[in-house]
Amino acid sequence: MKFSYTLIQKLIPEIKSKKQVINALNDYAYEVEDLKGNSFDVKIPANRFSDSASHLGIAREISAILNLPFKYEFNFNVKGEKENDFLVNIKDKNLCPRYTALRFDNVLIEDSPSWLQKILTECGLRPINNIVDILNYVMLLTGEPMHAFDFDKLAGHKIIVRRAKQGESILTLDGEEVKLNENILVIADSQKPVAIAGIKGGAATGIDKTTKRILVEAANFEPSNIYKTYKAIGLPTDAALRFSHELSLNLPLLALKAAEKLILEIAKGKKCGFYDSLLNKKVNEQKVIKFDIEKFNHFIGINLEKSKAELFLKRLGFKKVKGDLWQTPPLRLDILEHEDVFEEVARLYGYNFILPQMPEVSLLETQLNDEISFKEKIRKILIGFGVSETFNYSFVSQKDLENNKINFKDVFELLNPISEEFKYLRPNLSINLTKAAFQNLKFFETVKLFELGNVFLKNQKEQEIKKLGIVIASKKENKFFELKGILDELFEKIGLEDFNFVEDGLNQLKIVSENNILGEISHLEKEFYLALAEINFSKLLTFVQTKFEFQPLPKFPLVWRDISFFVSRNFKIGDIIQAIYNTKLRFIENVELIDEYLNEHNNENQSLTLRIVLNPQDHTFTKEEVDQIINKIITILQTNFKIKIR
Amino acid sequence: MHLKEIENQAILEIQSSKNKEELNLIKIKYLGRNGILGEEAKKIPQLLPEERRNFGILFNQVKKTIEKFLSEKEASLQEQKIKSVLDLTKPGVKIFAGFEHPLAQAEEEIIKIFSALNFSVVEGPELEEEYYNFDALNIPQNHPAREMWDTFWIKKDKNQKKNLLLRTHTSPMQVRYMLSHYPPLRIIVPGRVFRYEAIDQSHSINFYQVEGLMVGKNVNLANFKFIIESFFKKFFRKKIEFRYRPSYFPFTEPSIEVDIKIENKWLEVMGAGMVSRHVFDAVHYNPDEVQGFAFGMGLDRLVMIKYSIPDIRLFYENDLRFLKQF
Repeated sequence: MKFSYTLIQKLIPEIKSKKQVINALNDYAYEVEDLKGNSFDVKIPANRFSDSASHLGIAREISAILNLPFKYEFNFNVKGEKENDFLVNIKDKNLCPRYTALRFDNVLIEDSPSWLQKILTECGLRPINNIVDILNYVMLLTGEPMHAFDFDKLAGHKIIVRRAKQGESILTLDGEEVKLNENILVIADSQKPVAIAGIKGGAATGIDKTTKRILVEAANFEPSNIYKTYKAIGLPTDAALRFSHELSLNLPLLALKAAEKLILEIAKGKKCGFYDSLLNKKVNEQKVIKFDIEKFNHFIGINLEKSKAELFLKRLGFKKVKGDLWQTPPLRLDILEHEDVFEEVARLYGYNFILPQMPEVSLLETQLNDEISFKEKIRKILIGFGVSETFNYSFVSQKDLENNKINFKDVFELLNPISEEFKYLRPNLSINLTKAAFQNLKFFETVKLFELGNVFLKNQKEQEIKKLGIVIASKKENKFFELKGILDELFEKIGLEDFNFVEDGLNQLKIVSENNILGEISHLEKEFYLALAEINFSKLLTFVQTKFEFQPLPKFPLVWRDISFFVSRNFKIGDIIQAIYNTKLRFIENVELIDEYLNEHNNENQSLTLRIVLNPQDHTFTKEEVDQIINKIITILQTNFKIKIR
Repeated sequence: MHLKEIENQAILEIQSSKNKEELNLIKIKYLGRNGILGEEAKKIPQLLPEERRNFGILFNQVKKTIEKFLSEKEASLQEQKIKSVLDLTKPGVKIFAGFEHPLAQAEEEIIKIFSALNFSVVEGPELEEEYYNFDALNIPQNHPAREMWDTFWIKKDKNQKKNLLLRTHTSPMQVRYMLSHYPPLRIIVPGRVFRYEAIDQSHSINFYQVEGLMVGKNVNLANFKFIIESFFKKFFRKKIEFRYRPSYFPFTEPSIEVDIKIENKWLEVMGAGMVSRHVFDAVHYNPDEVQGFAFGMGLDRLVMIKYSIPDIRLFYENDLRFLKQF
């Protein structure tokens, strides 16, 4: 929000420079940005619009921070006139808690004086005519947006505050036609809406050169309705932004008082009527809160003397009621509890002057979430294997889903996507990992990437799943078996003891542990070779054996035999190896594939060499014993797979 | 000693010699002027004339044999020497390790620093309910305070009651954690968060935050300064200055912005404050019995500062030429 240094100076004459103002506010109140000339920009927090979205409020802050005198009477008593030549009817008191208005006759519409124009310009507003400029000036001064109607254009000389009717519309002062509905609060005359309440005035009742009689409005509107309305109709006007925050019910009167003085002075008008929907009802928003210096010091961690704290409170406009009870300053709707008072004292003391203090607390048993330590372990292993870590976007496009044959019903769609490219939540890691690999193939022959990240699926037990994705892309060759080997070794290293790869279609294996599917590994060939694995990371963790028992070293030497044979390609190598384990011969330590060969001329058969490692366990094997076991295995393979020993 | 025995002994010694020096000594021992064979030759005058001839023949044979073995051994030693000299300046065999992502690296480092300060590490969901992301943190619906967080909303299904969104900060975990744990507690929550923003060099639609929360009977704002200053000093391992400014977050009171000065530049790095009683209310803690602080910082930003990385997009584009530098 833009502020005028000229006006601040007018309110606090003892101020030295704009720089002084900016530094004081930055260190003790709000974030401020310096602007050219006599302007500066203040980031007013959402809870401070009532008191600080105004030059009076900022001046009050500066005077408290710099301890400079600032005198302004926050007096909310406006005397009522009994006779009014206009009627006000508030139909929805929830959406309009207060409506006040002043009537003037014989105003002279002309350009406003240059001192006023200067301040408006410094705050980024365009001067229009004296009445509009005065009301804008009063808004800048007090924080209360106001509006003026040409009284003679108000049908029936009536103001009705009501919800719009379906089908009604209004032409705004900016010449824009806005369609209205029942959710929108309007100010209407006896025939039609003349303003969108708290947002924008209508053209039909606007002030022009011929205007003689005016009605000046200062009201309070329910903030969340204003917020919803300006969002819905897309009119974030200055007034709308202010009214969508909670503002003091006293502000309208403060503003009317200031406006009255200026209109009489500048536009030479004659006051001839006043209306207040809360006439003679005392609105007391100021709270009385206890300030306990011991509690304060305990909360902040300093040792401030009570007298100093009280000085800070007084400078901020708090009034001592009695003892430790303090009345909050006018317009300060944000101070509701003693912590709010603590904040006031602490920031005036200066956060930078609080000395860091080592906590004196008992130790706690810390938990490092299992998944986090497991994640670190997996990262280290994969990086050691030459796989690089990536972080991809959590979003995918419609095209991505179509290309990967993913059902749209299973995917979360964004209500407000930033672009077509990022329209859905990623249902897997592979889509974006593949893209990252493809990008990198421009610079490398082979690319190995992994990601640990969350994916999102609808209609599942869990809608958010932690996954591990690995991709190997190569321009030269199929890396499926390298990826499979990486998984074997990774599982071994993290202690996943019981797992199997189970065929799942032509190009994919399922990774299964104790009848649970942990993930998939697959390959495909496009413009390059691609091997992909995607594993449910949380599930994987639950199958990892944390209990681990030492195995005695073999007492007797391990022996091995290689058997080479021809076998039909109709049989799967995995099945053959599994069949050897399935013999349940207790001596079998390990079976490895050490050679495979495909005859160019005879594609039906393949030649395999398996190394069978035996552990004799309780004695040293004789040649005869080894032969006996190996022959048994060969017989089984001959029966089941029709192998021919080479 | 008989000549044949001398020959055998010499061959044995030659064969077992390990280098040129040893071989030289053997040569001198047997063939030198006062060597073993020389000594044998001195016996000739004492021999009978018919014995001299046979002795002479044998002597020459033995001498030749020893010479032959000596030269053979010499050659083989020479060959061995050539073989055993390596050019150690040759490049090593290339070993390929993968690259670590700088964000993961930094996250791990942050976890270590806070673990050493007795903080626990927990994670929370990225797909979050509106209640935890906003309402429970004292950010009501249709309140302009929500403008501080540009939110990605999930399209609702017909029968869906709760509003889902992508969490805009890690703060919802404050609520989730306190709902399931009793004080005292100290945790950090690292994780991915989302903002509806145009992507440019300092904005990304997803990025990382680390949330912190410490609650107990006596946890005060001065403690916050201690914890956070120790953290930043350890993380940046550089001389840094700190600046604290008033700020506003609906879920802390007071609210504070933390700036650090690194290499003569002030940088905004953290939002923080004392946990608001409204948050304690939402998790059923008694705000008059416990107090504490919470903070949140952007991981991407910290890593960008640490390594002078100019563009946040580099973290999510996964160019290996970028990643290999970490």
